[in-house]
Amino acid sequence: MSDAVKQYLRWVLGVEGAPEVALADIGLKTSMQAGVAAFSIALDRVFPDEPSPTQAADLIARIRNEWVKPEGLNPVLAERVILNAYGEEDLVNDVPPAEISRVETVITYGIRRELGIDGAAFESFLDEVVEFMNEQLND
Amino acid sequence: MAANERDIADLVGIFLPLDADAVDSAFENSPGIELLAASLASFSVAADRTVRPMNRDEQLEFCRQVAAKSAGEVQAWMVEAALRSVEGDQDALAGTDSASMVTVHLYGIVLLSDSYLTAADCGFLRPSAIKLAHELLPRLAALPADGGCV
Repeated sequence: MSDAVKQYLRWVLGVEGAPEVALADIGLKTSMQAGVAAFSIALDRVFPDEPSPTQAADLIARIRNEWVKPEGLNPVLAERVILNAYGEEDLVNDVPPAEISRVETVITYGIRRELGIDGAAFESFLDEVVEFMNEQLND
Repeated sequence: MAANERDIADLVGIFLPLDADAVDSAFENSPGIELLAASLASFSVAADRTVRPMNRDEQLEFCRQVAAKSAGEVQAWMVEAALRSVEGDQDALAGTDSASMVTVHLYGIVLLSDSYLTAADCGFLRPSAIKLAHELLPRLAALPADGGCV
């Protein structure tokens, strides 16, 4: 399974030359688990400790300015998705899971670009994501 | 559609204080930009007076309460987006559609009217809402018919 997860993440996180992976190939559930794992690992790279709302807003502003279509990432929702990941509850519990998953993936892509996680660094990022997913499974 | 002074003042009058039946029939009978301007302006001045002075936790709670009033039509982050837009955050509405935002303004006014504003508050806010609605009209008129953000 880990190879399929890595292929999927290379594709959705925009690695140059990565072959397209259809959602059906990996399954909705696995794709969402992979997405949230990648999001956690990426966020941890930027904010080892819980960010303040202002720090979360600054990160989203940089990502929207530099790396993604601004219309595709509402800053208010994106900031809430980040703070929610650090345990601030009830911020996005009324948002459909698929929409949260989409926002997480866009932010993860932005962090990858912002930090320049490419090549070998991206492969070790993927190793960490898979390890994280395995730990979740064993819990 | 030419805006006239009387229309705007009357329309603001159905939001501050809220007359739910009049609002329903206004949206059924004349859902023009004057009505949108009146609802956005009423929400803006009312939120500015009541929500802006709150601390962050209180504001988050306000957003949750508006979402709860809407029974799922509106999500809490959309309310925060509307509030931040009112405060001048140009990016807050990115990627939202104007129909959803009108719904946010309406439920926002419902909650403000039920729990935050007295009749005297509404009387005090009405002139500023009328003034703001007039300022909003040309901006609303310039929007594409199929959406866009205020």
